[in-house]
Parts: sequence; structure tokens; C-alpha cells
Amino acid sequence: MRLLKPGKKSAAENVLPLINVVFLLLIFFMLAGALEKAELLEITPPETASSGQPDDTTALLLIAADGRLSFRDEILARADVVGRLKAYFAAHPDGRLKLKADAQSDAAMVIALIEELRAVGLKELGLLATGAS
Amino acid sequence: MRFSAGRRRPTAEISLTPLIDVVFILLIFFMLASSFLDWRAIGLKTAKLGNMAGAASEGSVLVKLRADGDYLVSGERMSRAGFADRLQALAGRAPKPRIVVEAETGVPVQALVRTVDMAAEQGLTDVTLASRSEP
Repeated sequence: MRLLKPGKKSAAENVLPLINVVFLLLIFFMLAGALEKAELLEITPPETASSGQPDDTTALLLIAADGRLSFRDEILARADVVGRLKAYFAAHPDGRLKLKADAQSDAAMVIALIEELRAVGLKELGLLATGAS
Repeated sequence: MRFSAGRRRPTAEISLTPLIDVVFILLIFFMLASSFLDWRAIGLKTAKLGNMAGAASEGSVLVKLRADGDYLVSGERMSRAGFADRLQALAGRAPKPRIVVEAETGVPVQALVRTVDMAAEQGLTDVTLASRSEP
């Protein structure tokens, strides 16, 4: 069997497989990964076995493990959060809100906050979690 | 305009290096920026325990999460395994009771989510969060 003499291929031909693989990886990450906006607070979401899919509600309240709250790219005190959401619910009477709370944040505080928000117009709450690994 | 007649030069080569550079940069950007988290949403309701006192509490079971990981179901303390058994028993009731979950200070949200999951596993999907209005 005669093999091609090495060194005959041009430099461009040699990198073609590399380019192919890199293109494939690029296309995979473009299609499979969801681009997400960076958030102010670092949050490790709780894990759940539930299969409910998040809806398209845009209002997202973040609760960090240390209890800090963030809404719409601002870190806010609790009273301010309630004030902002009151205004938000006044404009959006469907009263839907997504809540992203850290797995280690205090549940009693989260429940109390949800209740406070319910008083200012919260109707449907979706607590965000990730699928169990 | 004059074209070189007949035999053309063996294709003027476009250098691939800039292309590869750009593709690599795009690849790294998408690798770092994309997220593969599998998001789920848990629908939750809330109620003030004060409003639910008395009549409203019939047909609902109050579950209190203790900071030490135990559960208080209608005032009775039990471990997680005991709570799972209790949920199974509750699921047999008709109509299915509403589960009212209350948390002590210091209970992580993960424990709350786990409780909701355990109830849902038994078909008890009517889960309400509650906090005590009075201490």
C-alpha cells in the first residue's frame, strides 16, 4: 500500500479538521446553551423533582443566601422591593412574579416576603429551581 | 481588462488563520456565556395563618418545618421518613387535604422545596405557604 508522502498537504489543508471541529462546537454552544443575563446576586437555586416549566413572566425577584434582595438590576432594601413591586403590579394586574431564591436563604423570611407582596398585588408566584442532578 | 490567458494560477489562497481566530473567540464567548441550567418553576400560593384560623383550617393540614430538620404536622413532631408516611396517609383522604407549610427561622429554602416535592409526589398539589401573623 502506498501512502501519500507526508508534507505534501498545504498548511491550510492541515487545519481543516480543526476548523470543522471548532465550528461544530461553536454551533453546539450557540444552539444548546441559553444566553443569560448576568445577575447582581450570586444565587445557587434549590433542586426540585417538579417538572413545571417557567412561564414567560419577566418580573424576577432575586433573594441571595444572605437575604439581600434584587429586582430589576438593583439591590434593594425590603421596603423598597415591596414598593417597586407594588408599582409593578399596579401596571401588570395579572400579578405574576418569578422568584429566584438561593437554596440556603431563609424560608421563613421568603414566605413572609411573599405574603407581604401578596398584600400589594401578587397573584401567581413561580419559585425557580433547577432539575435534580 | 486583461485576464491571464488560459492557465490560471492555482487559486489565490485566502489565509485561514484570521477565520480560525474569530471562530475560536466566538466559541469561547458562547462557552462562557451560555448556561445549561435546567430551570423549573414551582407554583406557590400564600395565605396568612391568621385568616385561616378556625373554619378555614378544616380540610387543611399544617406542616411546620423545624430548624433542626424535623416536621411538625398538626403539632405532632416527626422525622422526614415519618412525614413521608403521613403524607401518604393524607393522600388517601377524599377530598385531598390542602397542605399549609410554615417554616421556622433558619430553615433553608431547599427544605421548603423538598417538602413541596414530597407532597406533590403523593399527589397533594394544593400547597400553600403560610407565615404566622402573631409570634
